Amino acid sequence: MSLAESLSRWSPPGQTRIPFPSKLGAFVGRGFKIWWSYKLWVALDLLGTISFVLVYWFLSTIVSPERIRAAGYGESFFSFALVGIAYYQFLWASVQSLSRAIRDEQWMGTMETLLSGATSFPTVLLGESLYRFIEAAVFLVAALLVGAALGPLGLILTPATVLSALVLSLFLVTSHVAIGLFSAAMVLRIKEGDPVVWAFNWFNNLLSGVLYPIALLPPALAWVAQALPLTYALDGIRRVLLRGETLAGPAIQGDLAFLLLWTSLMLPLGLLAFRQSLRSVKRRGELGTY
Amino acid sequence: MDYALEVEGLSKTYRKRKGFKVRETPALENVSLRVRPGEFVGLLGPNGAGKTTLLKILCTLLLPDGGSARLNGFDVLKQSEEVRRSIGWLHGETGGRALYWRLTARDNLRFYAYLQDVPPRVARERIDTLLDFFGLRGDADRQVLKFSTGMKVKLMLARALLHNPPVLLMDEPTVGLDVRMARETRDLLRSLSAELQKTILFTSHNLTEVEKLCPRVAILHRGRLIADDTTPNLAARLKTREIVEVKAMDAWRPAEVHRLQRLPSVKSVEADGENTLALEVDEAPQAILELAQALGTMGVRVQHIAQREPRLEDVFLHLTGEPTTATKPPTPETAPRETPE
Repeated sequence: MSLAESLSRWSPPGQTRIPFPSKLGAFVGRGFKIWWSYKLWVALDLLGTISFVLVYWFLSTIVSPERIRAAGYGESFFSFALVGIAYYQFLWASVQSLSRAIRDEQWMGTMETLLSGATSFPTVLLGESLYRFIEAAVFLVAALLVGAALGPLGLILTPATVLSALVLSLFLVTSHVAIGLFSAAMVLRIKEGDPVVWAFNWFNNLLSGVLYPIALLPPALAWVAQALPLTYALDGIRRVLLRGETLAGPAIQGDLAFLLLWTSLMLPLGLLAFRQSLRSVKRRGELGTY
Repeated sequence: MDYALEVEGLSKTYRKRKGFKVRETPALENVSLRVRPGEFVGLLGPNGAGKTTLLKILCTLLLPDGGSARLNGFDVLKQSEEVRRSIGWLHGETGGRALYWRLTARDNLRFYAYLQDVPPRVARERIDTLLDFFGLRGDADRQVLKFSTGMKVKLMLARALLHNPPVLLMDEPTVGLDVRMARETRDLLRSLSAELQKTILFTSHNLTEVEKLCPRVAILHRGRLIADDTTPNLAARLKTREIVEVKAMDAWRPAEVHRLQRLPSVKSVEADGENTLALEVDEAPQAILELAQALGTMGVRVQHIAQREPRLEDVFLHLTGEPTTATKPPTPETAPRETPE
């Protein structure tokens, strides 16, 4: 049978629909296969997780735990720092997922092909970032497991604290979707060099309490730290995992309320920025250029 | 639906800011084009004529400044998802960059099937059929980075057909293919148009290919549609002009071409294949006599000199005044240095 005859038997487009989760699954599968095809990348990712935990474990052996205890985050600097760093890495990967995906598609030359298909642009974006989000979550869990293998972390894991930590993690990511959208909007337009991610990294590393409690900051910087969503997310997650508080606690509810407020204010702005940027590159004909 | 493709007054200008100045480059100016379902239309134009801009607007990847375009009955601005579902687009991208090189050929097609809403069970059978046709079955599970350029083009063609779209936008589909595969691809496109009523918009720099394949040709030049007619009708436009073809034994030297250009009966001279020039003249019999005399004086060894019917290539050159890459006349820098005996 010739190809033309075969084609005559095929149904025309639009008669079937792939369910939304299956489409997202296709992106995840593709991302994993590409990652897995770079064997050295896989090895470095795994080694990187172990080595960064080792660094903070070593640091914990020489840092006094008194200040951590005074700030109300348990007994150990290592547990404090590991939770902070592991969640920060998770967030860093999630925030960058969209802009990195766009940059990769531009470099590979697949951007225009991807967007000339029948799948809507929001689905493509969600699919693109989902694989990297799952990858980041796997490495978050792996980092906590490696940390636990090095000594007692003192994490309080009950159904209520695990659920609370999951809810806070979800709020942590959603509160930063806007930053990811701003970053993606930048990458679409200026391609290389992303000031949004640079600023995000710089401010959060210094001020959000990733490595030390914000109570140790000078008052002016502590005031700035109070405006960053990561400060609240890390405070909540540490309270849950290191002190056993749950969603019912007023401090956790305060953290969640701030994250919700931040998300509801910033997300529409992020979406608007991304839409404007997309429109602009479509006008300039630079969607697929790098 | 009367038209599979309906373009009305489409305009597009690229704007680039340099300091305080904005440089404007018009890419399309008031272009209108209507293509009926099942029509096979060749879209021609020199580099920068606006062909890719037009195709990208039709693919919804580029926003026009003005005008409208409907594809398979759907508006490219308001119903972009339905438009994308209706098209199979083959990039003019050379080297197969538009594929995931780290994935296998089968994984590339499988992923694209998801994007185009082809269910996995259906996709499996279609992928096998397409891989068989394009001779890629044996390489289906190899990474694309190990493929030759021709194999990548075949894979991109397979991808464009996977969801069985009614409209095919083919940007130089035979570039990089070997002679046999290029012929089979042309045959396939011909039968897709004739038997399955697929609407095809086809661009190529190979004018002979377009002439053989496309019953209708549209020519874009500097963003304007300067011709849109059947190939015989376009050739008939040159009936008042006559073409004399001169084939030499050796490569033409620039000085010889310049001298022919200065003959009174010669209007223009273009390279037309290996050691061959096509000369536009007023009256062929008179011109042939004049040419024979001049060529004898110059010592050019002539293999063949005769009048011939105007071809699509002549029409193209006449209308655009710009040679395609295949028909550029030799220049002092590029011409071979052989000396005629």
